[in-house]
Amino acid sequence: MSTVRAVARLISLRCKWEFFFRLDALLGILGGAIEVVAGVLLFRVIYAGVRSIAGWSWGESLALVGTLAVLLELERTLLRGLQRLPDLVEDGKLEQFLLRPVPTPLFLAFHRFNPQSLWRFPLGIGVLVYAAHFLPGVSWPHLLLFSLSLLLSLVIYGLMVFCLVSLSFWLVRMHNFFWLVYDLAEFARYPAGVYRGAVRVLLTTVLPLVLLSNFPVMVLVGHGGIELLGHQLGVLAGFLLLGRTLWRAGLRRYRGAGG
Amino acid sequence: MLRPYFRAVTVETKTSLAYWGNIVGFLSAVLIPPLAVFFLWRAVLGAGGTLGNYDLSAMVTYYVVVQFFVANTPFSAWYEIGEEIRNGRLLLWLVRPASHYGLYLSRNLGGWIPYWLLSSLGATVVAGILHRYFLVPGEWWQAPVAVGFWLLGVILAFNLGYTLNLLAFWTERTTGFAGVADVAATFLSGGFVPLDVLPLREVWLFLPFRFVGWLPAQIFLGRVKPGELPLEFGVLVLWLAISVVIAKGVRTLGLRRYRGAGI
Repeated sequence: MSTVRAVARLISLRCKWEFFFRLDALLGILGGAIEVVAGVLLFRVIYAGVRSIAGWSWGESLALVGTLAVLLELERTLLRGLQRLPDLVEDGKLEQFLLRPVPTPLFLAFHRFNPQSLWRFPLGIGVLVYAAHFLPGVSWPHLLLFSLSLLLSLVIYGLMVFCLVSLSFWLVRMHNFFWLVYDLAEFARYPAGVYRGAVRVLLTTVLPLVLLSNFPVMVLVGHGGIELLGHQLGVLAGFLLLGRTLWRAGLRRYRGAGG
Repeated sequence: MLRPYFRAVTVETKTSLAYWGNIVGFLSAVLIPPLAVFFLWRAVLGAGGTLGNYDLSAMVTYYVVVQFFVANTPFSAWYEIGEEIRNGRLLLWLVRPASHYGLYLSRNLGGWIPYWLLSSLGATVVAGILHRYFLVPGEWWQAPVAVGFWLLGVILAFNLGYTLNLLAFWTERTTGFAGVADVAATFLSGGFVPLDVLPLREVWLFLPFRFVGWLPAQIFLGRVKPGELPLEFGVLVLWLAISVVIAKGVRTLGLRRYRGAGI
């Protein structure tokens, strides 16, 4: 009887395993909602006492929260596969990817497309729609520029992650280094106006965190246009070059040993 | 009697230390967020403004301290606990002559010790960078008492994470629960915004999560009088007792239906 129960349990486990992914997605929405609400609450508390933060209005700051949420969800959905590179290098299994007839970095980036993360996508969009109520000057051309700028931000962010994970060719284990990129994204949470001087230059060039969320919002509200997109393209080209150099140097170092 | 637990602490400490680069990578969690949020608060409070009881110095100090506490707290305990229930390996723990809870608590603490040591160095560096704004405690006892409260808060947070992982007896996988709990606990412990400037502050300050971040930071800032500490300690111990009872109850109920089958 106990054997039958154990077999029945195995079957039910498999069924629950399949169901789990939906539950996981629902819980992911809840987690994402808490993050977004925390971001909105922080600004709500501040704007209760001031009219603007370094020239940014309540609506613009809200748009910043929404834009960053959308950007991070797009990265989680599309590019999470990059995080597997350190494990592949550590285990000596990168050959599985090198042998495929497609550019390895691209295959790595997209091989773990995660549609579950898309469930959280409406959270950021919702905040953006809410923010639009406080931004009367937004028009369709602005929205088009915003989308282009967001796309460039996504590619830059992906390249930053790629450069970071490429360091795994030199470091054995680097799980905690992922947090470096996510912690650095803290700089993207706040209006660009709060950063001044050399810090602002640093955060819009070498460590372009401010550029990621702020530039799309700036083109959305009309505080900049094509020149901001040009700036993003320049930064993108720089990271493309750096990523390519790191990848090639890393592959020369890679020996396929591991376990 | 305690030897297996001490052994678990030392083994996990050594395991963590084996990958020092990984520990260094974790430093970003202590270094970067307070530096980033500093620029925001300088823009908001830099001209002598205040928010609630916080001027710029108090706010900067709060974030440096609370980030150290919150980033170094294992809210989700150990994902392995839930995974081993699912894959049937919990049986290996059940036949050992030591408590499953005690061993995992010891392993967790042991694994975190190197992170805590390096993070305290990191927090000191941040405090040094922001020294013009960082408030050093006025009394000698404030910092050690704050750390003492936080360490008990760590056990409280572990109990929460442990209990959530035990839900694997019913849901098979609990990474989703633990992930949500991580974000929620960070918020509720004051990691995003000081709890006393939030709307509905009475609600947030009633919950046990404040012991992990907000309260130790208040002690560090000298905002908790020595006479109030025994009461706070009593409330913390009460929450600890409640969390242990809940964890044991959930474990007992879960083990009744556990068959050791796994995938």
